[in-house]
Amino acid sequence: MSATTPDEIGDFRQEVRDFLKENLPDDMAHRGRNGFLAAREDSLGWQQILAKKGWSVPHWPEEHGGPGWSAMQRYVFDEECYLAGAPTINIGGVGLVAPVIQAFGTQEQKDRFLPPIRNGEVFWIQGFSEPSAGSDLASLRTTAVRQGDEYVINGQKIWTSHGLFGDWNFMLARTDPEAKKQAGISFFLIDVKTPGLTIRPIESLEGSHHLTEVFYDDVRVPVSNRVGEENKGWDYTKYLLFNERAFYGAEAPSLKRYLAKIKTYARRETVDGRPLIENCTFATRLAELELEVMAVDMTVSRVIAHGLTERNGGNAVGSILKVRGTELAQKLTDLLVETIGDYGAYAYPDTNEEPEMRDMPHAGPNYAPGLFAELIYRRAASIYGGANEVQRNIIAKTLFRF
Amino acid sequence: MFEEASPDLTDEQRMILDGANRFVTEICPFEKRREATKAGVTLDRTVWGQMAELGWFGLGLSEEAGGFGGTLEDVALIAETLGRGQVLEPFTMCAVFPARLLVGIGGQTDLIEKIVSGEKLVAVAHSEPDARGDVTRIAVTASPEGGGFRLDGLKSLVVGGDHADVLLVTARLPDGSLGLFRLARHSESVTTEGTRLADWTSGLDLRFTSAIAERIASGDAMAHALAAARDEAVTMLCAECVGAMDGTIQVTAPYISERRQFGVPLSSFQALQHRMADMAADLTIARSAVLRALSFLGAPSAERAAQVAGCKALVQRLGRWTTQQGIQLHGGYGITEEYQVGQYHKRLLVTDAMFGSRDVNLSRYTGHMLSRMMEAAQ
Ligand SMILES: Cc1cc2nc3c(=O)[nH]c(=O)nc-3n(C[C@H](O)[C@H](O)[C@H](O)COP(=O)(O)OP(=O)(O)OC[C@H]3O[C@@H](n4cnc5c(N)ncnc54)[C@H](O)[C@@H]3O)c2cc1C
Repeated sequence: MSATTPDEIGDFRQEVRDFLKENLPDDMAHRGRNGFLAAREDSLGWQQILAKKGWSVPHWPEEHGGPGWSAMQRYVFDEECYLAGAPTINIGGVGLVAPVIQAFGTQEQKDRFLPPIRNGEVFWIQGFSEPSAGSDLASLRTTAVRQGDEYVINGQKIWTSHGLFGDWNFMLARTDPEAKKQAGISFFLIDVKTPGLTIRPIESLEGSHHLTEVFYDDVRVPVSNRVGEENKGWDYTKYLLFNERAFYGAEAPSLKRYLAKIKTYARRETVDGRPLIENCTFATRLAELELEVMAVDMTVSRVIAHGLTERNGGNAVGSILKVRGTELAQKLTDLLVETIGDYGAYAYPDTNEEPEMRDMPHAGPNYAPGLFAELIYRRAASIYGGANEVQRNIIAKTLFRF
Repeated sequence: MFEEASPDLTDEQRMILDGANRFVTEICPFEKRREATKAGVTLDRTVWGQMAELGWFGLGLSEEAGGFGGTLEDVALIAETLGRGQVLEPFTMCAVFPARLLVGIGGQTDLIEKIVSGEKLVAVAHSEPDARGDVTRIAVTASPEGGGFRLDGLKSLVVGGDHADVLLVTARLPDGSLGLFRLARHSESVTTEGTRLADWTSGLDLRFTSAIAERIASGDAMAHALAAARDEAVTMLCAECVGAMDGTIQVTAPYISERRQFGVPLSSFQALQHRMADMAADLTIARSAVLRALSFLGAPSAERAAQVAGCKALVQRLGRWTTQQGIQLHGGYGITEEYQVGQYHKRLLVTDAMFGSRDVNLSRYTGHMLSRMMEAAQ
């Protein structure tokens, strides 16, 4: 099945909507909409539901269980899932490590690791960044020393998202300290239960603990858990980061979800006795953002339809979408929080992280919890996935060809 | 070229500023704040007492009114310094605001005295979910009962509502007019919803269920005093925001000078130098906006309210951007509770919600600007 015409896409959209109506549990959708990051059981649980339908890995080739959709269908699918409040799946597994295993892994690695990712059975976390290797990732210092059939890993990672949910960790370590920065790095798959590996939470500004530090103290990893060749890890990483930016950078579906939320709440909230949406300053700001979201959406559609062309930004389009998409998400979540007036200032406990708080009464309207957390999370979006300044450097490079 | 000009701070103001800076570094260092916020502490009465001892709560109030004299510019210097120091204790909302409100309505000298001495902490329950800075949009009701009044309804964003001894509550009387009511905070008929604000400072909902209170003002006199005290409080919140912008620059400049990536300090990238140059420019402009608002605090009420609303709209926009950039330039560290920079941004977000967001304040200023234009055209 590979729809291309507008009619076919329309039919496909309806099919996805019907499926979501039938299969997305209400409580899961409610949690998916609240703005806190998805809990482990929701990410994996939703992935399991999708797997039964054969829809859990839209981006994968058919030989690995992908549904064989066109790029446009995948986009429509993502959008409908977002609008329905489906939880975010484990992107580290499905979107980042799996394509690397498919492209560069051994047959044994493919057989062992891909099915549990497809079926939502394991949670993967990404261990690239280090305290002193952020934007300059290639300067990473964690080392892997070969001893017989094993590597012994020592060092520290930081900013590992959802570290506390992790079952498996894909990570980079230096295998040749003598070589040029990029040339001495290898790519490993590590079970987080391996002795010597410790994960510690970091508290972020909104009070949740999705970020972690990961410490490696003589962690022994079988050679069979190295992906591809020794010292070629940087090439695989570039491939992975390109996928990350191309598929997730613009986050167009989430932008549309923010617009919809703002409109819903701004009809209920009032200012000077009138619905907030009738306040001209507010409405103008919303209209400007909507125009920009639609143009970003159109850009994504153009890339899907025509690939990279000179007129849509060429090789820089991934960076262009990342910069503009994340900035828009920030402006939208700013407005979202402003929409709820006084309650935009309140601290709300992360009910996806502390489920026991779920049914507790709280101040403000039922949609207030999670909006502030989402704003803070979006603040980070211009930092992670290659900071926006670094993306601008990439865009400038294509302009001036230096 | 600077020699001709007079200094922009008087000797007294210089002393106030030095004292406030010392207070922040000695009494309220960031590590101590972090310990408190981890433990869920929003306000420390010992610290509150120390602020009172410095004479800050009587500053800007005349001696007849129970204060120590001085100007609102002096008060703004303290507010700015506390904003820079990320001090949790709500100087503006629980000292400046209630004291000026009480002076405005007249009487209540006992309570003013106890605010100034730090003996009593007073919270003003003025806001409601639909108010957004319009202090006359009040749904909480006050019905006569015995010699006093019975209050019913919900107040939101009550800063100090968790720790206060005394509450000042705005409510609507049966004839539709507004009144200001006084009651003790701790009573079974006053319950809370929420815990604290997103920057970990004090603030929550208070629900009044047949709470017995004393009426201390009503009618036009109370409306005028409330509007004036609101504009003074908003100006001080803007001064705090200027402090937060200044603080952001003060922690970010050394951070990017020390942090190295690609073998060089981050501060060697011109893109980041220019970002910080814009932050510095916005700080200067924002401080001027606050000084300008201060100069309007004695103006007729409509003009005063519009200029203060305009100041808030501008300072919130500039401050939001500057504090966002502070986080951005810190990279991942900016998102964490371990680093100071993110707290500045959260403060800007919290003050934005107080007394109406920037859009709301901007539209109020716009309305005033347009009516002035119409007047001029006639
Ligand atoms: C919420 C969140 C989730 C994350 N999840 C993960 C994860 O799961 N796994 C993982 O490995 N990592 C993760 N990261 C880490 C992320 O990839 C890094 O934060 C990012 O690469 C930036 O590195 P840094 O934080 O060290 O900032 P730095 O590199 O120190 O940068 C600080 C500032 O300097 C700017 N800068 C740097 N170099 C230049 C330049 N050449 N020119 C101009 N400006 C420059 C940056 O843009 C930034 O504004 C996450 C980060 C966040 C915030």
